[in-house]
Amino acid sequence: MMPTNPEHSPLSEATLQARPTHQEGRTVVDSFDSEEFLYRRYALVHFADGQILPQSISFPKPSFNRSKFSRAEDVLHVDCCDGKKLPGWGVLESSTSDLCVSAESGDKRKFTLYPKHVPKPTCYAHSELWCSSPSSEDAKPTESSKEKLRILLSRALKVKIPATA
Amino acid sequence: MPTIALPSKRVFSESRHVREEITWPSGSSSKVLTFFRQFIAEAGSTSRFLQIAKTYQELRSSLDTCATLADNWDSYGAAKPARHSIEAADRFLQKLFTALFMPNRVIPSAEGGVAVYFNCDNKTAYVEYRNSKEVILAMFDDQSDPIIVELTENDADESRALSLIRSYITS
Repeated sequence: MMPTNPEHSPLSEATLQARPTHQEGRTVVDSFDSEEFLYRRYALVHFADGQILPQSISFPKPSFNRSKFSRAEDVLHVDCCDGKKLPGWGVLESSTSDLCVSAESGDKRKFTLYPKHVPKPTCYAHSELWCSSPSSEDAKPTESSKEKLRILLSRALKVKIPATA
Repeated sequence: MPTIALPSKRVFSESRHVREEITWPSGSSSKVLTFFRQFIAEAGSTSRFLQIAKTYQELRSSLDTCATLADNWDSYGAAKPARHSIEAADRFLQKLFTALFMPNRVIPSAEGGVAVYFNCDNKTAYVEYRNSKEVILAMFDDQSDPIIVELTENDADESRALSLIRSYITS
């Protein structure tokens, strides 16, 4: 079952054209429920054979919207796309716990992704997946580890709103 | 790098006078039957080559599309594929065409670059040419730990990638 969005902008209840929640003085909320969803937009070019392709994801710190403060469709709203209109794009989703994937490098260092709330003025729900290692909370994974993480993320992401373009 | 010289748009741009190449058999019916069996087999082979040539042209077209992307094409800040990434992917496509082993698609990468994709059943492999000049080969299925190989843009590594992918996909 999809999580509810109790703190969403009141406008959203009145119209499908409602804007995403703006920051407007709201503070960062550090904690994420393991069952909270994260949303990310995608174009059709990155979807094939029923799967999202790893090429849709870039490092460092890939962006998402957290469901605690966002509806899935908010990631397609201009307020969350730096003013860009994206007709025909779709939305991916995954639970936070499924996106906290890990990969080990050749020298046995373990890199693990974790969510971080990084609000933007017109997109309060904006969040990122950061990478930790045993020695750092903001680690840079090796190229091989990064590629594994991209593949694991693409496996975890499912289509919420199908792309048509 | 070994290549087959290819016209830029069409593999066969002129009509071929096939009939002149045929020496019609005479004699027993078994000779005629053998002739037609060989003829049909050859036609099938030619057809497969034409399919591969068509796929090659479609993939070149996809690569051309990648080359037209602007910065931030993915709306998350991705850089457009650099010219050298496009050229490296093009060289790899030519090598694959020469080997008659064609990928399924060519797509832009949010990391900045382009990826050449192979799928067969539940197996996937890709070579990603990055703007940073890194070349990544990845091979994986639905379940197992992905195999990642870091390569360079040189000819030997392209041949190695082809060999590894063919072995993985067809095993």
